[in-house]
Amino acid sequence: MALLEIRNLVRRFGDYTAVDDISLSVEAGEFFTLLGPSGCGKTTLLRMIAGFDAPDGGRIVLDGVDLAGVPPEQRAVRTVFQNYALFPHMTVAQNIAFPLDMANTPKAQVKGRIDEALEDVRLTDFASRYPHELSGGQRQRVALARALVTHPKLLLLDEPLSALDAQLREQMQIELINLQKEVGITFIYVTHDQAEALALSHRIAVMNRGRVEQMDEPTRIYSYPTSRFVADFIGTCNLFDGTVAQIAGDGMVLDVPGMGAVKARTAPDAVLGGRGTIALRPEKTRVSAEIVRGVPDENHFKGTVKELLYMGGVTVYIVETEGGVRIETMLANSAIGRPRFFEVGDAVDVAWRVDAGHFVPEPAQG
Amino acid sequence: MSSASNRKLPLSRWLISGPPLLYLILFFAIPTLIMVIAAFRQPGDYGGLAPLFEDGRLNLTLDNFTPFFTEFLYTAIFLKSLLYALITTLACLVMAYPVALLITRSPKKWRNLLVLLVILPFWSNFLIRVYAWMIILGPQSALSKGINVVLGLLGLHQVTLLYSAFAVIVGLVYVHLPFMVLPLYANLEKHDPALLDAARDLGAGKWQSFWRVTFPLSLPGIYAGAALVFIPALGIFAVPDILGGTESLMIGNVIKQQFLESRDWPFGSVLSIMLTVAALAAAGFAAWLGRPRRGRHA
Repeated sequence: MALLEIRNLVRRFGDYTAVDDISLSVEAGEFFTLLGPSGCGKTTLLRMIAGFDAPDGGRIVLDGVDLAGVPPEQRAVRTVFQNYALFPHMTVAQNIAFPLDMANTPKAQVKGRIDEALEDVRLTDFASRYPHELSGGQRQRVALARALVTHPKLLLLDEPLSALDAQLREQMQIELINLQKEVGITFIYVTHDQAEALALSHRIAVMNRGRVEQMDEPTRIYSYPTSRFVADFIGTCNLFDGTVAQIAGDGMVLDVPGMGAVKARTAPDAVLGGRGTIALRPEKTRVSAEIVRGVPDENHFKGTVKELLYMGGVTVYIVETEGGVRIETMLANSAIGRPRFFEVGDAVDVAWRVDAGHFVPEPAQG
Repeated sequence: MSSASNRKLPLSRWLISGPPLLYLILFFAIPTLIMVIAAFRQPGDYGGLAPLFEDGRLNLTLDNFTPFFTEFLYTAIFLKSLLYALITTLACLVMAYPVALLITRSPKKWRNLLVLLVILPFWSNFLIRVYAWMIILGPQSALSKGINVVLGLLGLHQVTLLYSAFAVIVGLVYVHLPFMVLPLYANLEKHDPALLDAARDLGAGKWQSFWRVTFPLSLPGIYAGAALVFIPALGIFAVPDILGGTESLMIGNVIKQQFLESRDWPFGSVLSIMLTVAALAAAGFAAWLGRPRRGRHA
């Protein structure tokens, strides 16, 4: 049985359903991420696991124990809050000692446990500092040490890196991964930042409007989104909406207005005449100057470079097809002797293999 | 541009700070100075003050201070006033803290209304509200009768509530309560609610969360409220005048007597100076307790 089992969890605020019949399970030792835009219910879900909020329906079972009615202080769950919530009137050491005191840890052990926790987050020299004397990253680490010092079964992290600047955030991401490996505690991480989720997690649950849209490993979430929302929310994606015109063996054709026939691999849930979307990542496209036609297993579209975004290592080209559809493409700037391959106004050919695009059927009306 | 604004700034500063400064000089600094000088002057033959210059020399004396330090009566009243003010402060704190906390934890839309209710008594005259307590504590009141019925059933002595130290302290607490609620509320309202979540999350029950987090963080509010209650309560004369008996006189009453009844202005000034010194000491102590420290930020 999984460490954390969530079954049919519901939370309503008036007419608004913040968490709508969510079921998921998290294995021991897993780095699990709840990812979604603001208002998707991820924080509400986290607060119910921590015990700050009570569900209107469903169950939360931690290590075989139903948490219904268990107050937050009696749950083997710790939270790292968005703004760290360090006690401003206590030193770093006093902050870390707080959960030990509450658990009536023998005095003789407290000192050693604090030192150990400080060592884990590399803050040994900061024990007698006050929170306002620390930088954002240091506060973050104190919050982690304080939450981990009592060895909880589950650590909840509520957008813990959102208050840090980009460079520090990347560094803290690596530290988080290492720390999680080191302490072996299950992490449930809440974020709206898809790049962060992809980089950190073993598994991701993508949430939207109180529901889980897709739950899988980062590579599968990125490569094989199961809904238009997930494809759109995770990374950059071209979305070609159309009608299934043909299914033949492992190949299918979607009729897309402004483009015509777009070939793709047959998706198991594709239905002839049904509506759906082909999701295509910019980096999976090929852009070339010469117009090649008739290559099997490839889609080709003639177009003109309308806009470009030079990003150093790569350039993003927005190519408009003859039918007026804009395709976002990306090329490494590997041309020798010039900064990039194309300029605005160049006529190009955009191509991608049929298995590069991924078909997502439109959900049944409802 | 910067030089122009630099030249303009001092004038605008004077315009802003000038009127209150003038007010403080006219109605605080100068009267205090007059009072201090009066403490060293001779009393006039028929009350008031003797002339400052007599036979071409300054007519000053230290004699006015003698009774304060030699007659135990004044020290006793002074100490009693300190005690009343202290009890009042503690009672206000105990009563105001739950109120302030309740307002803080109320839904946002209710908070302003609740604060308004706290200051609502200020809309009617202070003396009228104290006179109301004369009726509430009077021998014919339901409260007095009720208490005495209970005491009678228990076989205990009957009590008179009015004109007692008890009545004075009830009056003092009643009058000063809002001055404790408001600074406490101002402090508690600023606390980050996530801190309480964090305390619970880290294993503290509701009670422990309060004592380990909310209470220590509210100390600056407590010191501010204590100063706002203790200092005026120490010098007040109207409440003991109306609700107190002869035994529950406070230093404020004695000072008033010196000026209006005994007409011994120099001695009244001496007592006033002592009261000011005590109030300053209390304010200094509160400021010292609430001083910004390394571990405490607003």
